[in-house]
Amino acid sequence: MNEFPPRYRDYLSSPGDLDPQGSVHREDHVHDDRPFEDSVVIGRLRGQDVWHAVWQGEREALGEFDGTRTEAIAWARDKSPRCLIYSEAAGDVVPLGDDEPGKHG
Amino acid sequence: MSGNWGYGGSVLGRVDLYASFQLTGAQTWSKPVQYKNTRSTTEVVFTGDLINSAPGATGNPVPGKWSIYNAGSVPGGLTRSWSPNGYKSYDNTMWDHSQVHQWSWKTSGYSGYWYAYIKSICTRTSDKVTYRFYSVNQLPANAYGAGWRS
Repeated sequence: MNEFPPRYRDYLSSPGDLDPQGSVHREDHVHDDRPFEDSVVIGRLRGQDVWHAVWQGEREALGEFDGTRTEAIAWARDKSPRCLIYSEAAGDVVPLGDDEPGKHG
Repeated sequence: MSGNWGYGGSVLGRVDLYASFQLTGAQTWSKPVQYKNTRSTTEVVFTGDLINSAPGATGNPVPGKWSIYNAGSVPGGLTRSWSPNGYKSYDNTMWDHSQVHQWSWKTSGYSGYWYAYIKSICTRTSDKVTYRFYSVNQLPANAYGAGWRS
């Protein structure tokens, strides 16, 4: 596992000094028999008026874009029919279109 | 995180370390990733990694996500950032993630190196598309640490 010098990965070998909270959940690969479908997720960068979009491929990000919200949406729609965006009203990521005013209370 | 570091019972300096994590789908972006020390230090190295870790679990590195930034020599009092854009990871093969950063440094006149690391709040997906942070106290095991090695 340590193919790199230990200096740079001490977190893999150091003893713990925190009593963690919470329970231990499963740790395994995602098992999903559905065929993979690419998507774009758009979010607003914290503390900035910049929207960050990631075109999500099966094994890697296929592209990224930073710009205004309008620009990011246009870029996303050009890349994939499956687009999601962070909605401040919902406080969550929702399908693009569901974030429009009136969709959430 | 901040703390004093030293050798043989003497404090040599105080280090301030900072990383800000942001999620966009399966991408975790750390920016800024910063280092500041009161003492001049050399061979300053930042690393970033993604581990498959649920809250309370030690977890294992996700293959291929480890990355390194060589900050070189850093004069005391100056802040160095992982440039130009911090550290990004992308993975949609695991249910649970935590992003890890380690900083290590040396100083002239002393052997060995000092290090410190932190792990982000765990994140989780249910659909391979969107990951969300757990609540603030949901950390991996050994969520932070520091020390000296020869």
